[in-house]
Amino acid sequence: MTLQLRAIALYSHSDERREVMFDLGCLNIVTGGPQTGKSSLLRIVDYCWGRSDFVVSGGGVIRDTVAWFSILLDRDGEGIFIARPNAEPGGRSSDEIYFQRNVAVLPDSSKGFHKNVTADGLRDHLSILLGISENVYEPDRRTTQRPALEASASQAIFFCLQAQYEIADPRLLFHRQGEDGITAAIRDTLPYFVGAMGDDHYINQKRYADARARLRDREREFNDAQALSSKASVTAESLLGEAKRVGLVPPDVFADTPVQLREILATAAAPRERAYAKMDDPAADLTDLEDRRQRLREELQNIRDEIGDLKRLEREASDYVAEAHEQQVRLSAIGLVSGEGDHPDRCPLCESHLATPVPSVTDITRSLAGLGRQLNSVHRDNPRLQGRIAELEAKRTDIEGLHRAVQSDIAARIADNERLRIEQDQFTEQARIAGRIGYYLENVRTVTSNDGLKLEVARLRAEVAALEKKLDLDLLEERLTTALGFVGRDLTDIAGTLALEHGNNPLRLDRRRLTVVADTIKGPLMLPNIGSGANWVGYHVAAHLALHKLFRARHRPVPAFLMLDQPSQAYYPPDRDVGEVDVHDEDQIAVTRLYQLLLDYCTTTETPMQIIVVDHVELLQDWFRGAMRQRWRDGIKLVPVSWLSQEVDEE
Amino acid sequence: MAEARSLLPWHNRPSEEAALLNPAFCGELIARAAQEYERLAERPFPLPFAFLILPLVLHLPTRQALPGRANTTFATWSADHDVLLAELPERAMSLRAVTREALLFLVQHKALALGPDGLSRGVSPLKLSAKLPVDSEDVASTRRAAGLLGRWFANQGTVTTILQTMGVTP
Repeated sequence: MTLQLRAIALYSHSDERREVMFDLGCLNIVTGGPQTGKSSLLRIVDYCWGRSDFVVSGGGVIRDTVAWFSILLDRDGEGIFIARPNAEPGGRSSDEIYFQRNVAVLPDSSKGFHKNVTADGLRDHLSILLGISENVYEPDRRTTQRPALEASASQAIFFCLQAQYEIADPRLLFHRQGEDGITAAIRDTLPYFVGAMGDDHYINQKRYADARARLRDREREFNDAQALSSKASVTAESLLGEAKRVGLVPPDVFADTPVQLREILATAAAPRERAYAKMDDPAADLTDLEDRRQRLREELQNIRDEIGDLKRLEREASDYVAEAHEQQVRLSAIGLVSGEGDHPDRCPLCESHLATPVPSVTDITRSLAGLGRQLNSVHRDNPRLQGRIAELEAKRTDIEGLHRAVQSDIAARIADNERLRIEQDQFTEQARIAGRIGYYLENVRTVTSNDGLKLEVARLRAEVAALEKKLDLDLLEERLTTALGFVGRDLTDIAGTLALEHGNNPLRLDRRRLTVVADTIKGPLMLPNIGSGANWVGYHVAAHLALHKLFRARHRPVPAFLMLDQPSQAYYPPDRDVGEVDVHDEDQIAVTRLYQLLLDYCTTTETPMQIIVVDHVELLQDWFRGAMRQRWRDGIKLVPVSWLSQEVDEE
Repeated sequence: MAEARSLLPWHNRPSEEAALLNPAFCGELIARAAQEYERLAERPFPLPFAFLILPLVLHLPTRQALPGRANTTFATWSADHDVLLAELPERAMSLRAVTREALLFLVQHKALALGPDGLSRGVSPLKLSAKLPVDSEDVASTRRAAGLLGRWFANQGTVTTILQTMGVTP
């Protein structure tokens, strides 16, 4: 498979066509003066290949006159036509792409051009045409946010173009090197394009990375589960201790194995009939008792009051008795007197009449008798009072007995309630522990049933190992070294042919720095350190030719053409239109040597190679003239002058 | 100083006063003192003493303060109990009518005879050793105190000295 360039064509707004035709498998040269649109050719190819930003500047002429840019590719005889419209006035690239396969010749008219493919679609088409195998790999979106990475036509074109400003820049070996993300893309895809890795390398590498990520995740999960289950056994022991404490498990039960332990816990957590005492509302019961006690107390108080009253009555009576008794005793002193005195109202001494008669014995005796009767009646009353008191005291004793009974009932009920409360607390505690055990057992089942995780880890490990083997990064490195060894050898050859400085030293392509390195006796010398614009251009050409030699020899999916924009600029500055050169000076010899190399390269390489050079020099040799396809001088430019007048006419 | 009040006729007296201060009982107390005095001093019981007996033995604190034995020095005792003695004249005055009635009762019944030197045993003395059907501790101690007073007065100096000490004038 080779993919080369048959033609570049422009279509004007008035649907006129301007084309540049190229021959396949040989050197094609377009020469022309300054500002004739030479550099636009390379940019048109770049743009039509699907580059996202519009790069075909070319000044106002192109912007004003061109409607469509197009290229006609040749893939082993099949014509492939790609057309993109000119940028809109704002400078934005159009997303319209017209893609057509099996095209024999350039279409005469742009009338049929329409958007029939997206930029991504175009890239895929070109990749397929180049023979880049399906290597798009979509990483697992759950584990990574990396965009899909692939080796595609977009990267392949980097090896085929050398713009005017790139070919002489010592820091930029490849097309667009130095732009964001492009350097890495070139570096990463180089091993693929030089054939150091199989077509499935990328997909394997991505699979490998993904498998490793998944393995890491699963291993972490697995370790977590392991840790959980080892922690779980400690938890189980402590749960057993708690179960014993609350009486769910008899205290003499011990487990020898974790399984046994789990069984014991299972029985402990099993739902059970609780010997729960069904009791009346203990508080209500207590209230009844307390009410009763209160009633008894009141009754008792009443009895006590009554007894107190009676006793006071009795005491008063006995006080009276004592008083009366004293009187009786004193009155009875009359018994000491014998006989009745005479004339109580007469003084015995002076025989005078007494105003107050002395009380007679009779009087006193009568008083004594009266007192005696009174005392007797009091004594008769007293037994009745005391009977009443005795009765009340007996009743009090009874009630006190009842009160004591109620009191002890209350005490017993309170103790009972306390016992019930403790019991209830224990039931609650048991239920709580049983619940915890149940929860634990459920979790443990989850952990132990994580055998699936274990299997998955093993499976992933095997997958990673297999992918590792398939990838064999050592082998990859070895192959890459081999490939780059070839490139280095050819590079050295070509540099020798071009008589470049340090061309006599071994040269190599540094794939990390993406530069050419000369291994001198004093140490490695990189391109920027070599100096001289002629050397820079020479090394650019040499590196690309050496790479393409490998691409061709290995049938790598890289387009078989190389576009160089003004390789002679180091000898003849572009602002100086040297025109035809036939002077045998050193510069001329060097330029001739370069073109001779390009011409020979195309004819001597086993597989066909197309080199398109745009330059402002014109060598007079026949072979140079034979390679010239266009000569833009004397008013001939990329854009015909007639298009400009049309523009004017239209306005 | 309370007026010596005369007594109402027996039937009009308050029954307590009549019973507690009846002439038989009061007379007995005076007779006991007089009899003891006469026995020890071998002379009639001076009349002024009769008016001291009831105030001394019927007033409970005074009776309790009386010496237990008759040979206690009267001067010493009176010095120790001057507070009690200070109230004695008033009590003696209030009981004067009672004492007088008791003396009349005794003389009418010829239990005591009143001579120029004082009271002496009458023709039909009180049967002091007789056992009465009812008795009380209070009355018994009153009787003992009355007897003691008779013996005590008999052992101590002159009538005038005693009366002066008691703060009482005849």
